[in-house]
Parts: sequence; C-alpha cells; structure tokens
Amino acid sequence: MPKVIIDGVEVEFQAGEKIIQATDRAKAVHIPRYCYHDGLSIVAQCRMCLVEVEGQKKLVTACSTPCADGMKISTKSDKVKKSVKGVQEFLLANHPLDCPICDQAGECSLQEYSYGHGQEDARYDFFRRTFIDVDMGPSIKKNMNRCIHCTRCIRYCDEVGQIHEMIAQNRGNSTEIITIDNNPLKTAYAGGLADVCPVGSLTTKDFRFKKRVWYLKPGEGVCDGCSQGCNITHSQESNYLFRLEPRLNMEVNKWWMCDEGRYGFHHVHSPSRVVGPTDLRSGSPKGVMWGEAIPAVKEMMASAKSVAFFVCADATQEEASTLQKAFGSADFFSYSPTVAASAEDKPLDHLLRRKDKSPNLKGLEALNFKPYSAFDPKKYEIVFFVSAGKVRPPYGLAKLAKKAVGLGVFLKEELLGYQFILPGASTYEKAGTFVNFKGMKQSFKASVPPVGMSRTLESVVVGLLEAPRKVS
Amino acid sequence: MNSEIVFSKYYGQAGVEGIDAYKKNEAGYTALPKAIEMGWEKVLQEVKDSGLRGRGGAGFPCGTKWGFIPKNSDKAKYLVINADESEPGTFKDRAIMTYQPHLMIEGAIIAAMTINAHMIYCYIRGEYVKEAEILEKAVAEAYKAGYLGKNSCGTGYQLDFVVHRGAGAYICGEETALLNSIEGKRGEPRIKPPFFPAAIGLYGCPTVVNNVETLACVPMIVNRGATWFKTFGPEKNSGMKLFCISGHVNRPGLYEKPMGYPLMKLINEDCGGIWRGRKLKAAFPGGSSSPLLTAEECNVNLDFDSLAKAGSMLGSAAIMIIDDATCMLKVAIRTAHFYQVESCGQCTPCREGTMWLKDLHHRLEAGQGRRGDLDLIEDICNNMDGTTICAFGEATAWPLRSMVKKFRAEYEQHITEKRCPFGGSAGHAHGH
Repeated sequence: MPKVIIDGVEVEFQAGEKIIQATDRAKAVHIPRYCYHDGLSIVAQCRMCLVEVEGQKKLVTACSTPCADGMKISTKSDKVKKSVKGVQEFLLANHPLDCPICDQAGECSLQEYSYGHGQEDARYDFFRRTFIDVDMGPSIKKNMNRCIHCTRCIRYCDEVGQIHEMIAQNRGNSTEIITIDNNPLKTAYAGGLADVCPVGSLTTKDFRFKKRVWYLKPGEGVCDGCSQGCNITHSQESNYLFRLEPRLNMEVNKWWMCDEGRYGFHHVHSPSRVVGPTDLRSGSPKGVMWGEAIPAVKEMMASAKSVAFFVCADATQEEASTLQKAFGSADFFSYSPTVAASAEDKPLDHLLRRKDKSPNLKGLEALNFKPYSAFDPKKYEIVFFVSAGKVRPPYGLAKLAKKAVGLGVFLKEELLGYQFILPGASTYEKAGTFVNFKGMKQSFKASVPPVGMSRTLESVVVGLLEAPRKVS
Repeated sequence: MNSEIVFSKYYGQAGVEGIDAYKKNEAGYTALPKAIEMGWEKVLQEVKDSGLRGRGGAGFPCGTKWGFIPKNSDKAKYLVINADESEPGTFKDRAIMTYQPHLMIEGAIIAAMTINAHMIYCYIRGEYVKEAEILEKAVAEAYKAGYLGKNSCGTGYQLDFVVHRGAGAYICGEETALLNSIEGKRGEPRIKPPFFPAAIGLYGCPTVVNNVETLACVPMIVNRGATWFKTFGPEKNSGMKLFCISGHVNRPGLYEKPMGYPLMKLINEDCGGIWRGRKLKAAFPGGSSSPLLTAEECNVNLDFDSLAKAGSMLGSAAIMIIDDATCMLKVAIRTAHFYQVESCGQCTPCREGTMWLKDLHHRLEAGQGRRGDLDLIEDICNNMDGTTICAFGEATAWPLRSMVKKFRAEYEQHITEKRCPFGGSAGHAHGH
C-alpha cells in the first residue's frame, strides 16, 4: 500500500484518501479541525487543519488535500504551529467565552484546541459581535454569538436531512448562520445539529441547562424507537438518564439518529410511571409489596386454564425466550403498534426512520411468536401484557381479557382493565439483544438500574415459578 | 519600443460603441474570419507565441490557460469573461466595454471557438449599469450580424453569449467565486486544488475565465500577429496595457502605454506630476491589493516581472498615487475598511482578521493606539497570509503590512502624540 510520512511516522493510505482521513484511521496524530466531519462534504474553510507538505510553499488543509505516495507531512513544524495558533485566536476573537453557562463546555472543540494549540492571553479587545438567541423549532436553540462559521450545520441539513433549510446570511464578519426566513427546522433529524456543531451554538432544547457534561457517564445502547436499531450512547448521572446520542456504526446508522429516537426516553423517568407492584382488583390502584403481589398473581395463574402473553416488540430476545421456557404451554403474541408483521415494514424516509415502531419484532417472529392479528383476549382466562414502555399495549385492550396482568413499564393513566401491574425494566435498565429489520443481532448493556421497586422480567419470572415458601 | 495607440484611440468619443463604427474605425470583425481560416490550433499557437498574459491581476499566460482545456472531454466547455472589475482604482475594463464592446466580443468569440465552447458568459460588475446596457446592445448587434447564434459566422457553429450581472460583491471577481455566483450559489471562492477551472469549472465542466482586456487583445494578435504584439514591452511581458491612474496627480485617468513603461515617467510626464506642487509619498502600483511602493521605490517599470522584483505586483494596473500631505494611516483605514466589508466570511483568518485590522487602524488614527499595536497589525497580517482559501487574505495582509513596515515612524507618531500628525480624524476608534 502507498504511504505518507506524517511527522516521521509512515502511515498507509487508500487511494483518494485525504490526509486527515489517513491520520484518523491510523490514529497517528490528531489534526485539529472544526469544519471537517467524516459524514459531511469537505469545505476546508475553518483553516484549522493546515499542515506543511514538503516541497509546497503554502500550508495545505489536511481535510481537502489527497494523500500522495511518499508525501512528507509535518503537523508540528513552527510554521504550522503558528498558523494553528493564529486561526484559534481568530476564532476566539468574537467568541463570547461564556463557557461557564454554555452547555457545550466540557465537550467543546474550541475549548479542547484552545488548551492544545491556543495562547493564554487574548489580544483582541474590541467589541464582539452579538446576536440574540433564536428558536429553531421544537428541537434546537441557536446561540449565534458562539458560532465559528464552520457550516457543518448547513451541510448537515443539505446532505443528511436533505432539506435545504439552513443558510449563511449576510457576508464577512456579519455572516449569520440561520434557517431560511428564520423558519423552524423541518427535518426529522434536527437533534443531530447539536451533535455536529463543534461549539455551543446549536444545542438541543431537551438537554439545554440540564447537566454539566463532565458529570455524565456514557453507556452503549441500541435505540428502541423503531426497527432500524440505531446504535446510541446514553448518558446518565446518579442513575438518571439525561440524553441519547448516536454512536458510530457504519452498518446501521453511521453518525446519525432521528429526533424521535433521540428524545424518546422520557418515559423512563416519567412521574406517571408505575414503579411499584400495584393491585387493581378492587378497581382502584393499591400499592403492594412484591411479597404480596407474586403469590397473588401465582394464585390467579394456578386456577387459569388458558394463559396468553401479549408481548410488545420492545422485549429483548432474552426476555422472550425466558418467557417461552418458563410458560411453554401458554400462547405468545408479538405486537408492534404500526405494522402487523415485519414484512410490512418499510423505510419512512431516505435515511433511518422505519415504519415498524418497535425494535425487536423480527426477533420475536424468529422465536415463533404469533402475530397480533391472531390475538383474541376473550379466549384466555389470564393475559399477561409485557411492555418495556416504548411500545405500549393498545389502551383498553386489557379490559377485554378476563384477567390481565401488566409486566413491565406502564403509565398510571393507562391501567384500564388490569388486575395487577408488576413493574419492570425499560430498555435502558436492562441488558439484552434486539434483532433489527435486517436481521442484525445487536446487544446492549444496562445503563441505569430499574427505577423504584421495578424488577427485570427474569427476576419476576423466577418469583412466579418458585415453589411457595413454607414457614417452618 | 512600439508605443502605438491601439485601444484608446476613440475613447471619450460619442457613438463609437456600435458595430458599424467598430468595423469602420478598427477594422472590426476582420480577425474572426481570419482566425476561422487559420484554424484553431494555429490561433492557439499564435496567442501562446504572443506571450499575452492575463490582464486581470495574476498575469497568467493566456495561451497556456486555453491549452489546459482537455480536448477529448465530452463535457460542455465554457468561456467566462470576468468583467467584475471591482479592485479599487481600476477602470480599464469599463472603458473597453463602454467604447469597444465589440472588440471584447470578437476576442471572446475567437477564444470560445478555440477552446470549443458553445457558451460565453460575461459576468459584469453589478454597479456597471450603463456598461451592461451597452454590452447587451452590442451582443444583440453581434447576434443580428450573425457572429453569434445558431450559425456563428456561417460556420454552423452554435455560439451563445449571456451577459450576467453581478450583485455588487468584490469577491465575485475571484474566478471560482464568480463561477459559483453564475451557478446561483453564494459567491464564495472554491477550494483549491483544482487550481484552474480548466478541469472543473462552471457547472463542473472545463472552463476558461478571462479578463475583458485580455480578450480585447486577442483580435489584434490574430490580425497583426504575435511578432507585432511582442514589439510592445519587454521580454515575457509583451503587449500594450491600459493603466488606470488615480489619486494626487494633475491629470488622472486612463493611459495606454506599452508594458514596462517607467512609473515615474508616467506620473511626471503623462500625468503632469503630483498635484498642488506636492511631493510623491507612495503609490499602489496594482490596485489596493498590491503592496505599497514608497517614493524611492517608485523608480520601477510597469510590468509583471519588474514589479514582482520590487516586492509588489502589477495586478490590474490600477495605480493610485499618494502625495506627502496624506496620512498613511488614513490610506490604511480606507484599505482595511474596504476589505472588511468585502470579505465573504467563508474562512476564519479573513473573516475575523479583516475586522480586527480595521478596528486597530481606527484606534491608531484616533490617537488611542497602544505600543504593541503595530506589531499586532503585522502579526495579524502574517496569520492571514497564506492561510486562506483564496487570495483575498493576502490582498488584505500585503498592503496593510507593507504600510506598517514602510511608514512605521508615521504610525508611531500617532501613538506618541496621541493624535493624527496630519490633523485628520477617522471618527471614533470603534467606528464601523
């Protein structure tokens, strides 16, 4: 393979690769960058990645210059250091330096490169340009003062969201990055703007002012919003989930995720979530201990001749097979709110969103779960409704069953028809595997423990199977 | 040296811009049939031999540029005329378009046929309203006379000419920004490489971008030969040139001289010397983007190579003369202000640096300058030099840096005396 020599180290490259891509792949040296993003087109306008190539008079941008065999590149020469320091100073000239109240602080490229390449004092002492904060629709708030004009957001809307809705308005020093006519964003991927923005200019309203990012502990997960199965990073602090972000997986979601998935975790800490075993037999909910709830449900099961499990397709493969092994004689049904079977699933747009709004329908079908259309609640004496909170059983369906027990995440206002609720874990509170629409098995780990008295499905099943304890 | 007047013979006269006057006065549209007869390879060779260098600023050999167009490409090819003449002090293309639009059109037709382009775009500066009207009229005349259209010059070759008016942005004179502007995009320069639009130009197709004056030279080269063209000016800088003289001389204006004409001779003999009996202080030899020459350095010949040797450039040959009663800081403020307003804002050093430089100069002129300000100006200029996408960063940094370097004492006087020694005031320090 052809090679380039970067700071004396040989780095192999593929044909057509740019310098910055070769160094990133080889993890050789980190070249600072603002406007360059792996998933977006190259514009080379922040001028941060300037490097020196032997034999060339001018510095070149590492993001736009293709590698050539034997090219000798220096990222640490005096000329490069001076230019990087200069660019960093230019960027900070009009930056408000309001890190103490900025959400990006802690994961801000401007901060990082200031420490690495900037200078300690500011020589700029004139008025800084100021703009007022602008609302950009339900997802994003814009603070133009912090903007460094990298235009990643403009390219993101054009190339990822594929709606031309952000532009650079005016010229030169008064350039403002703005949506066309200040309209709210139309794209279903607006939250990604906060990801691609290297500074605190575009932030999601959902996470804004919620938490300093250095307190957050990241965990690796899989989104349960649809059959795409986007890889995500969920961040929690003190067992409280704060945000979801896309995690790079070139086979599934690349760098992106949709807003529906990004903000679709609020049922986890919803105040109306049922977090303790609840007895509803008297008609009004009554909190009970697990020690009372389990024997009562067991008693109901003992007298029942026919049992069905109505499993919402946000159950993991592990949960589904646990149920099958434990209650082999029962009937199992899978449920997705938008499709009858995974064959009906189709993409909703050019990028990620899919029609099937459940993460594991394909997996449950592989375990021979029957389709929802074959389910008749009246046929069974007792029906267990299993949900992780993302896909919830149709409201009122439980009332049609003779006896209904809810296993999993339920909201207080959706308890019509249930005899018992045994609170369970949401997707973020358990480990497991989802099978996405392509048939890819993707495993994830728990990020936070189940809220309140909730228990994972496995431990509830163990309790239901256990022989009654005798007091000796 | 040949000093025949070929361009400006009829400048300032009424009714010379029509096709009939052009045919009568300047043997108009005789070069075109001759070129068709010669064959396009020979025309290209003739232009190459003439040593014609681009008159827009960079001085790139015109024939070589045409030669870059790939012959085997099945893509459409374009000829774009850069008539976005916005460099401060430049008004040569305006004269050509006002008095000899057909000379440019004829040159453009020859150029387009040479590179096998069927489409000519003329990107004319937005402020040139009258000139655009004259040009439109001339294009209509050329269509009517059969030089443009479906059957251009009876050869069966389809050639169209579109006059595209700019919207008043200096940066759209940069050739790649100009192409973006024609395409309907933001007028921002494209990243290099590719260094020439010959490979990827307008709409991604091979394109030649030529200045108005360059194309106006072409019919003469075809008519009278490369050897004749070379009788003007020194080696490698051949041809006649329109010089735009403005500033503190007795007779400012447009002067046609052969390349390599001495600057001092032009000032003292042709322009009648410095006005009001004052002395020469400095001069911009090639528009406000060129590094300034002090009075001593003005003993220089006006051609690409001599000026490059003197540490400046010929640029668009816009010579701005400054007398000794002028505050250099005011000149610098004027320059810095222009570039601050005109920066496209695409890349960081230029967007932030131009504003910063303007503010610093205003502060100095207002007598509020600080000790380190001069070094700071130089350092900002150094940080802008060579770090931007297009040459705009350099166009700002070079003149401003040259002024601080060459007139440092005068700048320091502003700081120590806390006022302008010339009694001027440029408004308050933060003026925009």
